Amino acid sequence: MTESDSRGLPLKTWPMLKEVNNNYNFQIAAAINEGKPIVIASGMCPQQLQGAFDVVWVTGEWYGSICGFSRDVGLCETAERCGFPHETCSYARMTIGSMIEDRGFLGKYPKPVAVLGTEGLCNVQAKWFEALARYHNVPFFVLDSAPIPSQILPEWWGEDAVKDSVKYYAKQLENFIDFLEWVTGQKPNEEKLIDAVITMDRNERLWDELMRLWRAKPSPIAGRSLFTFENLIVSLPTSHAASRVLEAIIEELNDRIAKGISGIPNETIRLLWQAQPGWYVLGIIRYFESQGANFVTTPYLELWGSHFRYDWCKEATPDWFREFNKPNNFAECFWEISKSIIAQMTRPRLEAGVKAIKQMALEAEIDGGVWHAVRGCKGVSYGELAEREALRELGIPGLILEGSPADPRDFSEGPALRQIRIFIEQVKRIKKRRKRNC
Amino acid sequence: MFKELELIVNDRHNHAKQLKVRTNKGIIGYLCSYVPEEIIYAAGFIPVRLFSSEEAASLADTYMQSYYCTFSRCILHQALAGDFNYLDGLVTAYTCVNMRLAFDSIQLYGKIPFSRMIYTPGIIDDPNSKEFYYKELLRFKKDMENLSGRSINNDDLREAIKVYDENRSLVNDIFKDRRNPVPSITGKEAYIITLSGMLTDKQEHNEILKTTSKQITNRAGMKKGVNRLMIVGSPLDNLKLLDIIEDDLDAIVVTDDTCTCTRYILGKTPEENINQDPLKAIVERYLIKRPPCPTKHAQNRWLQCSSCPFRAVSCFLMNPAQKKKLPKSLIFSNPERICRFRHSLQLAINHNVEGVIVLQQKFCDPHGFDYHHVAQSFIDIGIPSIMLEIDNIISVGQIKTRVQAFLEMLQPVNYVIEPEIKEGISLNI
Repeated sequence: MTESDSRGLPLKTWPMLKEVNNNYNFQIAAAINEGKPIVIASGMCPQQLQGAFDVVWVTGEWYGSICGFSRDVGLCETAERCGFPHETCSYARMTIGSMIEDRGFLGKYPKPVAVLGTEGLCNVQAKWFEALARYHNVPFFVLDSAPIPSQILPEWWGEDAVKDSVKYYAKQLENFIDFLEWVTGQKPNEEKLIDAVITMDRNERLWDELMRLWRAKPSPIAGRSLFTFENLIVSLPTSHAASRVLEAIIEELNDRIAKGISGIPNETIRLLWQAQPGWYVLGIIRYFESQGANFVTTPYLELWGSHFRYDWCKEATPDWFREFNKPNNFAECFWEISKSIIAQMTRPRLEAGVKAIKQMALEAEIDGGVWHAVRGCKGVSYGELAEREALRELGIPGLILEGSPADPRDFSEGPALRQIRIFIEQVKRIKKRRKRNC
Repeated sequence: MFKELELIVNDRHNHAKQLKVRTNKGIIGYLCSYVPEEIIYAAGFIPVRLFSSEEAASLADTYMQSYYCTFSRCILHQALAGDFNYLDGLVTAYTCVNMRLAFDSIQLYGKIPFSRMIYTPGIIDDPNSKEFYYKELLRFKKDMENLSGRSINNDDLREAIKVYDENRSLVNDIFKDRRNPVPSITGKEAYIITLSGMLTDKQEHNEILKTTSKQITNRAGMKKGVNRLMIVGSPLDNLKLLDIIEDDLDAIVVTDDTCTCTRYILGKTPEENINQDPLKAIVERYLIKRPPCPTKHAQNRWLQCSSCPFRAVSCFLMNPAQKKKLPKSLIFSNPERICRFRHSLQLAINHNVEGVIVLQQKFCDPHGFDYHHVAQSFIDIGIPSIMLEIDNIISVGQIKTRVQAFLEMLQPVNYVIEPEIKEGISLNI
């Protein structure tokens, strides 16, 4: 199926993207049927490591988001019946419900041989996966990132603190390899790991380029489409097939920019989006588009690339932290992975986040910002209100929509649409006033 | 007997202001029980813990969404309202995301001159974590030296550790009495003891405790033949809940696993480390010796399950370790208290608990995810539990009805564990 974007020209790369995404789903479905070893991991686990083993790697966030897209509320209810509070992450509740009921969009639930959690960005990414491991009675490993607290005031803890964080994480990766070896009974493949590290870096740079092109004026792609491309960098970041799709979309967007083709017709309003969308209610974004409003940037998607991740911490980190060196052995792979995870996992602390969003707003020339206040996801919606205040100081209006990425019960579509209508009118009025003053 | 301590808890801001004038020492606020207070104390400051209040957290609404816990939102509200203006600094440990946003927001928008966040590793049993944490504490020590304008040597640290360990011992001695069939102190009094300790100079607190301890020894037992309860879960700083349980409903809280009471005082600093390197001793105490909070993970906690006295309890993972031998590189340590569930069950049995109240601070993810396993593990040994969702404001009527119904269903306790296993449970908490 092609993306019949009636508001702009359809993307030629779309069928290619769909094929890669579908193959990923089929691969997991086949693994369930064939009894291949499956590892369920937090999205913040370094995915490069799956390259070293012949395992099927299922990202919890990806699984939860597709459950959300399918609007399978019954899974959340099952988790809640077992005592997991409604206020917790909806991805987690979807996955836990699917696990208990042993059903989901792939037919059966992918029963893992091991579960991997992460600590650092938010507490859920460890607790959720701990709950899965306890239920399955399978080994559980937690990777603990050590963010760099000195990021707020670079003068305090300096280079040594950064080095200690990277060393700390790299040492854990050594243990992690031992753990996976123990769980799967396989020897880690150094060559494949090196390839995965290099491919992931390449894909992150391609993602950066995609994000840059997205900001063009007018934007050559509808913001909504980017959320489908996200699976390439979230679930398939070490895949060569993902590189090919990213290269193709970059080429296509360059071509569209040269020809002046926009993602939506009559792009009159440029907006910033923050946090995951409600996967069950992507139609809301279509409503924005119908009003000539396109989302042209978001810190949430930018975070998957390397530019944004390293850019925010450049004042607090030495050059070597932000430079990628092609690894030649396990130890060098661990070092490169650790740098990227620490930068990504830390996610801008409040001050850095506020600075970064101001910079993005100015660079992408946005007229307004929309924040999805994601109930249960405190990691992604961290500091959203302060960000909105910061943009208000720049004269950019903001709208907060409360909901959750996977549980439709947390989102009230009617009131949200009314809020959006008022917001768009507000943005239009502010734009008109500015034009007059010019 | 507890009036002096209760006054500290109820009038905490004025107490801290007076303390500052009286002792001529700076006051450093801290947000989490993982903050190594000993280092702050050794630098010549008085660490005081920041708690929520019963005010609406209206000022926090500008920076924190309503789905962050009210405990953290209330602290931010008070900071923005200027209630903490007497503080010379603010320190937190990296534990939960709620407190992290409260800290970040205070750092940016509050008016506190100095603020630091210490990264407390999420993995507590790995030697790699200890090494990292040690370096983190060295950096923090240097910051405190710069702030105080004086260097902190090993003797200063040893002295601070001594004061803090004495406090832990004194409170522990008082708390041991709670195992008796007719305890001499109530749950509310226990909370007053620990909360006041977090809000005043530890040395002064020790002096008060010495007197209180003697008075308690001569006191008649409290509440004979009433239901014995345990509180497990999110931080509790609003004592109204205990008024409902103990005064209105005539039960008694004999122990707890919360970071504002028993979890705060358990775990002495290992003496062998104090003599060698006191900072290393602090690392050991905070990572290994104290009971963990749900945000902390022991990498191979599940490895210990096959030898756990509660191995029949369903919350544990024990099969993986039985399948095949784990590589040496992954076996870190096997300390007793590293498993939170085991620790809670042990406390419950040692105190003859008949029912458990699981406190869930609204929007507290770490405790929310643990609830299923906590409740299940207590059920497995024959202790029923009830979950109470709390906020900074206690809804007295609703809570009273729920606890009353829970008390009515309680039966005399009959722990479902093998006798030899029960004997194997350490009474030495």
